[in-house]
Amino acid sequence: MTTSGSIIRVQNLHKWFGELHVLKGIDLEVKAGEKVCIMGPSGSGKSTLLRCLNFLEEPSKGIVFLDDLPVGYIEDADGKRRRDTESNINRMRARMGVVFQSFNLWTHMTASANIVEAPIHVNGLSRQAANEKALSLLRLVGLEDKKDAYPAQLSGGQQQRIAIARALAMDPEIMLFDEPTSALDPELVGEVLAVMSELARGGMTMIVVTHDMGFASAVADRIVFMDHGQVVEEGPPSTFFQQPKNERTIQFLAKMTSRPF
Amino acid sequence: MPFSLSIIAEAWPTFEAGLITTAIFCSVASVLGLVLAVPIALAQFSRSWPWRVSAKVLVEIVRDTPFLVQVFVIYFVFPATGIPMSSTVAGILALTIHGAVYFSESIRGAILSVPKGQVDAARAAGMSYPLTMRRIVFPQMMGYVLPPIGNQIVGLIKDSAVLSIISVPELSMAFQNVLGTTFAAPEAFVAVAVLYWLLTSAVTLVMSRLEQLTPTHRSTQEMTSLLAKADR
Ligand SMILES: Nc1ncnc2c1ncn2[C@@H]1O[C@H](COP(=O)(O)OP(=O)(O)OP(=O)(O)O)[C@@H](O)[C@H]1O
Ligand SMILES: [Mg+2]
Repeated sequence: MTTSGSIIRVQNLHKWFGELHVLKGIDLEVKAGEKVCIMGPSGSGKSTLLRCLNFLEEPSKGIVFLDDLPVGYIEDADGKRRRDTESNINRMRARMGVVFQSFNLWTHMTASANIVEAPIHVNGLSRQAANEKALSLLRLVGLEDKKDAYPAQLSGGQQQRIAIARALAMDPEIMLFDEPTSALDPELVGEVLAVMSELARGGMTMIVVTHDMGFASAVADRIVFMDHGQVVEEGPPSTFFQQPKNERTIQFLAKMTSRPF
Repeated sequence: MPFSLSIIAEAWPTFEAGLITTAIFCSVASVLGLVLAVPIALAQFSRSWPWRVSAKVLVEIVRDTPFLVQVFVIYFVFPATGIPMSSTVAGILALTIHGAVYFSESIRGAILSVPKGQVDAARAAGMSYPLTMRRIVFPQMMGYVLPPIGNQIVGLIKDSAVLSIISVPELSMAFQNVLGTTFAAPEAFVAVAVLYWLLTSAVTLVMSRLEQLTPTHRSTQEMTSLLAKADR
């Protein structure tokens, strides 16, 4: 086995939705502890890439490695790949936390029930241990007083913080965020970004799809810019924002900075 | 002609037997139908196409043919292929299949009404498909699935009258017998209508009770009461 030192390695990833070629050969490596922000225009395939990382979406071609193990497939002796067993896929998914644009809290459960659900039913944690863990996570995201609230009783910002706590409850090795603040009213964005920054400071490996240039500059080790299903430019925030090379990046950044907030 | 309760009283044993038969047939068919409806609904979301196609074909056949024809097919065609068939077995089987298909359509619709993001979040957390269904999808769809299922059980009770055609001694058969012996007394019409109404109302009542137990109902209730408190 090759030890690449990267926690996520994406090799020549393609995705077709019928005729639509959404990902056109993505290569990407993320090292443990690294924070990578993905930017790009709407429809460029950012969400699809994120969903392929944990096999919520099955790649059409190419492969994703998590700690040098192929995600979703096993390779036969003759090098042919076939779909991994469901339980292996589930186990692999549990190692990556996902935070969605639309929060996706389970609406029939309270905040704390959302957090303890997977630890109890997937990891087999005792209810007591799970509750204790939930409490400390609620403290981390500043929502101890909301543990018995249903999602409908929470603001968008609060829901997203609970969603982050829910993902963290599985002790993931990496966190994937898909535009975590895009559905929020501007005044609620800050509280979610604060939690994410805190998480970044704690050393979590993070892949964040975001259009928030402030957050990306402050937190990212690297910005990856996608357009039309391809990575067209990547680099540290300083070079990416100040000396973008690619024509499409330049156009995109111009549009972003001229956007009234 | 004055309305005479004695006509109904005289015919009561016949009506009672019919009522019990209808109630038993419909209860058994509803329970079996619900049990079958879940896999029929789930098969249509399956990743493997033979499951999807066979479930869809079954649903289409049952939905697009009259119940009367289905009853005939089961009662007459099966024995012709060497499978013995009594009117009781044929009747319950026909009602069960009929119910299963209609229930499965309600279940399918209710599954679709649960936002896809809820499933994504569960799968992303490593929850298996069955666990996701049991813990996330089913509890949330109960609020959506119970009202149409209640209506379909009511429909099943009314459709069960067709079984008189293969001599199942159910309520409408009893009614026809009473008509014959009482020379079409209006009292018989009133009695059979009231008895069907009692059966269907019982179903409606039970279903609305069940609805109040669903998690969606509870969480909205709790929310409403909390909002009311916050307002004060
Ligand atoms: N399940 C699907 N079936 C068919 N087409 C899809 C599906 N999911 C995404 N697409 C298409 O793939 C393309 C890329 O979608 P994707 O959501 O990955 O873009 P994105 O970069 O995340 O965009 P946005 O910034 O708007 O979220 C779009 O054209 C979208 O319509
Ligand atoms: Mg997206």
